[in-house]
Amino acid sequence: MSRRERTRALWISYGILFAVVFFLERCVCNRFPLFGAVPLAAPVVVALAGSLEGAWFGTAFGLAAGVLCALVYQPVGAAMVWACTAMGLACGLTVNRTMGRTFLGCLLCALGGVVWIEAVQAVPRLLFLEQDPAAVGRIAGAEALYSALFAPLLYPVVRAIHERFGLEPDY
Amino acid sequence: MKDFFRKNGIVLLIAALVLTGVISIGSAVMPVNPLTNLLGILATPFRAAATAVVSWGEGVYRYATEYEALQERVAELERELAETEAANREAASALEENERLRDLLELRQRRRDFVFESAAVTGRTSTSWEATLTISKGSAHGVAEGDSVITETGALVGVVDEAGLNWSTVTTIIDPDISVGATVFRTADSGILEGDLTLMTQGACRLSYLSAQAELVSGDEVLTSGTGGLYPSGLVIGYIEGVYTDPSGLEQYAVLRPAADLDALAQVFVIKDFEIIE
Repeated sequence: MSRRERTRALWISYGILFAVVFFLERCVCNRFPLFGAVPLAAPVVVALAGSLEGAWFGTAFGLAAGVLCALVYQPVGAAMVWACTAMGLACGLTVNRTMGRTFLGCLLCALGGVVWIEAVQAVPRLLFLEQDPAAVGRIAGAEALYSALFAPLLYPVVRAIHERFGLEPDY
Repeated sequence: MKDFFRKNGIVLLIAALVLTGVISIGSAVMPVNPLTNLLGILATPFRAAATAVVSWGEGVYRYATEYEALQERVAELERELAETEAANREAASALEENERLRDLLELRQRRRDFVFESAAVTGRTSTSWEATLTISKGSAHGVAEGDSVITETGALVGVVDEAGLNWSTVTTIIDPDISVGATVFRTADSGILEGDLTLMTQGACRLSYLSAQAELVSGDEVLTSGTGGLYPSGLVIGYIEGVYTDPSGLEQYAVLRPAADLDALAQVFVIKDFEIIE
């Protein structure tokens, strides 16, 4: 398989995975809130993909995923484009330069990504919508924990895609 | 052979005569010839075994030759079953809808000024920060931003926030962004219905800016006030669960339990037009 074909297969695989997770998150998980929070599993896919495929892929995938998230996660939609892009970039750089592409490294990056996404959602609510900080903190915390649960579940799938079609990180 | 008959011929002849005699006499005096009966008794297990083997063989043959026909029959029956089940489901759904429309008819007779658009709930909130619904009608059906959305009994569900061509997003009454003028039916005290992030996770909302003198009790019914003409008056919002004094001490606020079961909604009605009653 040529590099071009591998790249295409990689994008298609991650696209399908993202679509499935996005569907589950939008239509299934939102019916089962935990402490009043529903999970954000889609950004976890971006974080894991960025960790394993490198910063460039993470950035591009984060941008694509962010655009989709921006259309859904109101009212901080536009910020999600930048948040996901930055998350993909940061996960790629962090894992490949410091921790190595291990299970633990990817898991920590995913956790960091989830916290980052929660911060992006919470800060505007505190600054511009003047919502109760305690309530915002409680929901952000519950959502982050619930979302983080998806990281170990999604890791084997992302790892399998990486091993089948993955490219050497070219950050 | 010649020697055999020479030696045993007499014995054979006698045996033949005896047997012939027994058979003849037996047939004449008994309902079943004893020899035939004996033969039948001895043959029964063999006959049964043979029948079983043949039946098995026949089954195998039928299986081989009629398998496809049977498969087709099974498929046909499965199709029929699925159609029947679908018809049953449709009937059950039609019954439910009928029930809702009867309730709506009652509401329509009370409020003749309302212009309704029926819509199905097609989606629910997907984030922890809001409480919204997506419905199946949009601007193509005359639904516009700001329209009130109710249940068939007239309980307020929320307000249309965004109207697409064939879909709309409804901000429910527990969403932190909601703000609707409200009045307590029993005491006529006025306040503003507001969403609250903490209460939203408990499926409740808040009635703010109540006078410190308001004497409200748990269970009081809260209706839309219609003040300002943005929303129709008299729609049931919910019931008071608890009354608390604001930290400033100058006002009270109440926690409301919505009248509409927001988690179980399948069909809602958008009020596209109404008369403003001052």
